[in-house]
Amino acid sequence: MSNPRTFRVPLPKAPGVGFKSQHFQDIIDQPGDVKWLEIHAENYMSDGGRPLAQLRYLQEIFPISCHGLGLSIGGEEKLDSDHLARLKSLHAWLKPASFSEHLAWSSHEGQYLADLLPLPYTNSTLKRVSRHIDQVQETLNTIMLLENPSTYLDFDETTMSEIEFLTELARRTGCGLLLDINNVYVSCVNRGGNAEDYICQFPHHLIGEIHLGGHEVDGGHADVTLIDNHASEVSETVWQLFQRVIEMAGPLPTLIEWDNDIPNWSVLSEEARRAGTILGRLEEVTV
Amino acid sequence: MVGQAPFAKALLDPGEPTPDRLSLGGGSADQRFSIYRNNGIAGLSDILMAHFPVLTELLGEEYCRSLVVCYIRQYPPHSPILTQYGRDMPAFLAAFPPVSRYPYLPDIAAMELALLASYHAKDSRPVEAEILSSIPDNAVSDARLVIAPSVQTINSLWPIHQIWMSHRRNHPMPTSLKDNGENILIVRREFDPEPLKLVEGGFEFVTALQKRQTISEAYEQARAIHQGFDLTEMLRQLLAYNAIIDVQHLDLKKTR
Repeated sequence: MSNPRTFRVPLPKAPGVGFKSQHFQDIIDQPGDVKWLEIHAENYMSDGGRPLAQLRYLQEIFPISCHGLGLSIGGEEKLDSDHLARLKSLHAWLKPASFSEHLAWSSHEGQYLADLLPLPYTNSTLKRVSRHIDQVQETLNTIMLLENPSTYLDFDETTMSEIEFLTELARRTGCGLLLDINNVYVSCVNRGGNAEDYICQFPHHLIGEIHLGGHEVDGGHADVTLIDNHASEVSETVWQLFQRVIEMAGPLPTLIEWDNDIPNWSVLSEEARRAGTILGRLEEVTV
Repeated sequence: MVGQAPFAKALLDPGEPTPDRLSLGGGSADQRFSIYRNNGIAGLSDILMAHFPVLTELLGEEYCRSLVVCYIRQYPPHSPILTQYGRDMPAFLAAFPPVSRYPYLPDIAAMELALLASYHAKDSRPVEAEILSSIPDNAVSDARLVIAPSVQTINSLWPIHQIWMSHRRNHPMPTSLKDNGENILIVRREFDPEPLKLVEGGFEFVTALQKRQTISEAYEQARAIHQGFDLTEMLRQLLAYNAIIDVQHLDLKKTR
């Protein structure tokens, strides 16, 4: 069971970035404000080679957040035991500071759909996802963080809000939450919600990590759709929402996610610096 | 209720209608569902094109993007680990009528897959170059050489090494495709796989060693292809590229 007063934030309350192989040397030579790194677990499940060697080197310097994409925690089927075992062996040597996954499903009948697909927020989904989180936490022997998804549609059968759903999941399993502010904004624009209300109502005491990323505006239809593609700078609206969250929740580990059209290190570290400024400014006020 | 089975089916089959009972914040269900239809395919397409850079250049980026969508529908991934996704590309290309005029494409794809497999293969420590001379002369032929997991071989009826080098190393394109087959050895000194053109008989020699045959057995297979196969030169090349990681022989204490 979660206890708001004892929930331990696993990573430094400072900026981190999603690690990309081409930034390896830059991260070591000029880390700037970057204090931790996040990796996608599935990219480090090979037998050997450069990716693993780089990660082994970096784990000595930075706390590592292990972020899974492929567990399909929201799937109707049982969790893939092979994949759980691979995560367990990755954890055994990497000893990450944190493990996180998504409130989504991504596999069906043995086929990997390579996307984070939406779920109806109902009691039966709640039961299933709780069971899966319990299983992951038992296997990895850690408290995990669950991330709010970016979504493009809702289900008629949904009976509770995303925040009610996530809060109840955390209560049942003891897991923490990863608040992706870009996902909040993307989902609210796409589904007619209010992002400001969402971040105000979110259970701040359960946040173990924040994600900031870029989105694309698809205006070629009757209504504007935002696509969560992690291929650009964080938008000004998302920066403002982030500042509001930090004012309400205090400094938190904050990741800049940039997974496609990956920029030079200077561009990425500048985004981290901007996050650090917002985190640090508040620290000065609260100290 | 929209179960995941109909949702997944509609995602993968463009002929399937958008599932019912989805609600939207004002958008049209078809448009919003199509975002999910595109997302997975677009991500996998990017991965495949990154795994097959020379194939992509040969086909042209635009054409390749539509070709890989056909591949994804026929050979969807069965695991969330996509570091070597695309293993069926040679078979797919060989059976894909629109590219049948380019019969070397499946071998180019096989070569790029082998480079990828080498890149992700288990790390290993090579033996010292002197180790072979430490084996008594009468025992050399019965020794077995353990080949590094990163070593790959490909045999082809086409000049795939020249084609690959012309795209990745600015070498000239081959002047003729016919009667110009090339066999390739992929080695990885540290982390970067490098394709080398094998001498005649070299493919048979290295694959025999990979099957744990003795040096003399492997040599016989190479000589069956090419009488003048130069054993010393071949061993020198394998040692120079860190391709031998152990030598096993009765007279020799196991080295590790």
